This record gives sequence, structure tokens and C-alpha cells, in this order.
Amino acid sequence: MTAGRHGEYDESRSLRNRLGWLGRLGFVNYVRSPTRTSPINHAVARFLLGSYVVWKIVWYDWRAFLSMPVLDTTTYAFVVPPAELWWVLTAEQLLTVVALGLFVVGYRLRLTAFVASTFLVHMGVVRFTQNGSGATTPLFLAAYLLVFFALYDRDNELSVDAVRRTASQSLASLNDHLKADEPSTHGHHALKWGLLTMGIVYFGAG
Amino acid sequence: MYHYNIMVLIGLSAVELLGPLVPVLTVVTLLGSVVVAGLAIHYQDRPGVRKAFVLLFVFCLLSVTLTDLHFLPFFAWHKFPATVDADEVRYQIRVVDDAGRELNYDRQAPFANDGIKATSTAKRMATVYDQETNDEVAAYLLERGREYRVTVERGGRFLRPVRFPPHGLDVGWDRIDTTQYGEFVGICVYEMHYATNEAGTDIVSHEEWVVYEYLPASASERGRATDDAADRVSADAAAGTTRGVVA
Repeated sequence: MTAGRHGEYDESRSLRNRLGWLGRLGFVNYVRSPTRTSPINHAVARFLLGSYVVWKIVWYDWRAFLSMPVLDTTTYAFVVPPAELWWVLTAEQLLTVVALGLFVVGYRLRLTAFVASTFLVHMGVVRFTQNGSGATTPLFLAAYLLVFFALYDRDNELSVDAVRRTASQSLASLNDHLKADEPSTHGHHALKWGLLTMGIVYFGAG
Repeated sequence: MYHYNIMVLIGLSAVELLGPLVPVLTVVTLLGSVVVAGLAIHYQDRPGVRKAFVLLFVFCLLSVTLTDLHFLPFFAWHKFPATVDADEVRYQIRVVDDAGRELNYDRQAPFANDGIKATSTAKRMATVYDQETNDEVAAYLLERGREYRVTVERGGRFLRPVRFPPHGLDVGWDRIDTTQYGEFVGICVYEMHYATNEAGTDIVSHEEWVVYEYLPASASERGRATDDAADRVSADAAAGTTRGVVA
């Protein structure tokens, strides 16, 4: 008989534990607790988000896109550049790829994440004028997540920015950190609000 | 299509509720969201800024989700509440080869990664555009279709494993042996009527006919059937027609 049978939650019998190391790769409810004992998940999430978006947008051919003689929806026609200015969108695409590379390593993350999300929104709205399906809308989801990563910038502890911040700190503060008794906690607020966002979008579907 | 959402429940349409505000809100939401996000990121260390931004964000996202009014960059995925009528009308673009064979138009032909929303383009060609616009669009689609076919036959399959996977389940030309078709000479748009049984589990009738045809070279010279296009009703779909639904 285990405690679980009497209504008390038994961690050792949870599915996550029974799956061993595989289970530890599973779902983490960041909304319940946005802190963890290591900042690795936060950095891995940045890598996954950045590479997903690069993989998705790197194939876009804006010259061909703008040569289509009609728009599917005209609501957002005001953000679509004239066909001969296709290179503006191509430049945005390249800058987004560069910004996302810097975002993944965490260099000037507030700026790079904001630049990438702004261009993603613009490219997303332009593509929306031809195809408003789920082929386009994930670009906006990615833009939301990028903003959350920039908004909770101090959570990006495994990043070039964090190394630069640490370099400017005094030796005394390093000593304090090493002598501290309490276990270190690392915020994952971008993943917390990202998870809530995904929840609203997916729950809203049903 | 019918959506369960607050607007339907309270019996109001977006236009009735927001009226002339819709175009203003469209611009303000799009530009405002970028500006507000930038300000919030810049002033994130001031007390209350992050909390206020997240609250505003969740409010906007929840609003579009509950009302199904899209104000980009906020969007909603209303998939499951969308029901299909017992009598459904759909439209499809097909490319015609020199022997009169038809092939479902690959929506990725005009431009890379998911391309146009072909079902929607087909519907507007059948119901909205005038002849002149239709001819312009069809000429464009035919031209791009020919170019894309060359790409696919030359080695499009080689890059497919590393390309971003296409959205939706329809069968693109890279999964069809396009070499068995002759030269592409025209574009046609089909109107297709489906009737399902009461349980919605089976299609009881399926009829389709051509509502628009674009054949720049003389059709009879190319060996295409010369009977009036509007009379032609083919019950069995040509090879490679849509087997999935793109939402």
C-alpha cells in the first residue's frame, strides 16, 4: 500500500519517475512554478525557439511572394510593400536570422529578441494577406515568446549577456554568492507565460 | 462555417459591435503591440511594468480567442467548433496538360513554404473576380506552375527532407509523378458539391463542374475535349486531387 492510494500524492510512483531519465525530459508545469535549480532549460528553450523560426523562415522567397497579382485578404494590404521593393522583406528575413542567432547565444538579448519579433510580426502579417492558415500564424506565437524572453531578461543566465554582467561585478559579490547557503533558483518566466499563451491558443480552439 | 464564440452567443456580429472601429483597431493593435512590447522590454526593471504588460497581453489574446475577431498579431485557432454543413460547396484549381488531363494545382507552386491558400483563391476566382482578373491570376498560376514543375522534376525531392514541413495534408507535386503529364497548357477552376448523410460519416453524392477555364492556346488543337466546359461533370477526381483539408 502506498500513500498515493489514500489521496496523498506519491512522487515516486508518478509516471515521470517510472519512465526514468526519459520522464525527466517530459512536461514541466512552469505556470505552477517558474523556477528551477538550473538555468539549462531556459537556454535550451531559446535554442529551440531560435532554430525553429530560422528553419521556418529561411525558405521564404519574397520576390515570388509579391509577384502574385491578387491578395487573399485585403485587410492588411497597408503593410505589403510594392513588388519592386521585395528586397525590403528579404533584408528583414536576413536580419531576423542574424538577430535570432544572437538571441540564441544571448548577446544583447533585449534588442535582438525585440528586433526579431518585430520583423516576424511584419513578415507574418504580410504572409497573412496570402495565407491566413496555420502555415502563417505560428510566426506570431514565436514573436510572443521572443518578447517574453526579452521581457524577463535577467532569467537569461546562460548567455553572453550574463557573462558580461558577471564580469562587471566585484569580487565581493562573487564571495557572497559562493558563501550563500540557500540553493540557487533560476527563473523561467518566459516559459511560464509562453505556456499560458499556448494554453489559451490551443484551449481556444475547442 | 459556424463558430461557437461569444459573438455568436450574444447574437452580435463584429461589424454590429465595432462598426467603423474595425479598421482603426486593426492598425492600432498591430502598431501598438510592437510599440508597447518595445517600451515594456526597455523599462522592464521599473516596478509593475512586466506585470502590466503580461496582463494586457493576456487580455488581448483572450479577447480574440473568445470573440474570434482577428486583430493581428493576436490570432485564434478556432478549429474544433467549425462544423461542416450537410451540403458543402468547395472550389479547386487544377492545371490542364496538352492531352486534357487535369492535376490538382500545388499551392506551393507560386512561392515557397505553404504558398497560397489555393482553396480560397479558387473560391474567389469562381465567385468574386471578373474575367479580366481571373485571366491575370490564371496566367500567373500557369506560368509559376510550369516553373515549379521543372524544379520538382529536377530535384525538388532532394531538398524535401530538410525543408520546413508543409502545413496541411494535401498531396503536392513532389509526391506525384508529374512526368506522366504532358505540357501544362491551362488552368481551370472547379466547383464541387458534396452531400453527406445525416450522421456526417459518409459522402452520399459528389458532383463537380468547371466554372472557369483559362486555355491561352486553342483547346481543340491541343487535343483537349471540345465540349462546353460548363456541361462537363466528372465524378471521379483526377489523380492527385486534394485528399486532406487545409485549415
